[in-house]
Amino acid sequence: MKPQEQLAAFVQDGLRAGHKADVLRAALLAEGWSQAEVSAALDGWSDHGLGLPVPRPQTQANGQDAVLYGLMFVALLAVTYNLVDLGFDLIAIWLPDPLQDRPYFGATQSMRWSVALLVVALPLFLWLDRRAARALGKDPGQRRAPLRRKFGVLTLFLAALALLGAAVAVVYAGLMGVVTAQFTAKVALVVTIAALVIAWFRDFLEEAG
Amino acid sequence: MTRFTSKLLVPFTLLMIAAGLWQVGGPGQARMEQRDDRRMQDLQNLAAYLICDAREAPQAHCGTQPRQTDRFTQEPFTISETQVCANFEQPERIAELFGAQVSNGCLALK
Repeated sequence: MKPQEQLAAFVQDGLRAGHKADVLRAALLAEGWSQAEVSAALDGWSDHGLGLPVPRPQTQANGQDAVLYGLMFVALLAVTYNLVDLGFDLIAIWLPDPLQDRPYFGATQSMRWSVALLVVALPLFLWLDRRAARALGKDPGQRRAPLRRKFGVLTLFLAALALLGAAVAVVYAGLMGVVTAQFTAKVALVVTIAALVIAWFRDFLEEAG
Repeated sequence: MTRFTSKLLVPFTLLMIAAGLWQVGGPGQARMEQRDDRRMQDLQNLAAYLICDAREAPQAHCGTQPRQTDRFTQEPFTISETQVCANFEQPERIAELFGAQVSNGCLALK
């Protein structure tokens, strides 16, 4: 029997024998189980006054979730990356930096790629997002889908990395004495996009309950 | 649907797409750029051939003579002793991409 199964069996037996959850928690913690493990084990059962512990449904990742959230993640990543890329090109053209070559014509291919990717990735992302929301409406049990939470957390992680990167770039540029209008606009763009992604993450997890 | 994002991320992305298209132009602009790139390639081939031809007594090593006319308008390229020229549709773009190599649509023979 695996440790987690042992733990679940112990909790089940304990509740069946009439012990309170707090007593079981204290005993398990005293034996060195972590808070998270103990909470997860105790959350797996509920007491409806039956004298029997009632199992709560456990969620498992399935293939459909993996495809849905995986594609959503890739689409959101494509949208954010290309927004930044396109924005940087536009800013470099509109606010040229005398220290750098004017990139106007050399950047047109890159901008066309970004536009093409955004035209495809944005509707895909919105469609998948709507699909996930519809699935959630039909089956509230989807809230527990572990991939949904992982996807949201990964998105937040990347957005936080972008923000940290922007902060480091600001400090570095300050030290180098190159805080130009172009640079400031680029930082503002990254912060705006990261804020939009974090806002999306917040809504996404609120939906997940 | 995630409310906040749908209100902000979508219009923001659409705005960026519109700005991008406005800046780079549509398919007509792209075709123009591709024609100019092809012209430049032809001009470079011609310049390389003329340089070789001027150095080598027998022309055998210089390969076949490249085209001397614009492949889209059939206008002949202007050839002098020091440069070869073509009529580019966007000479400023070619000048930026190829720098000092090209001046007023002309490629120096050196």
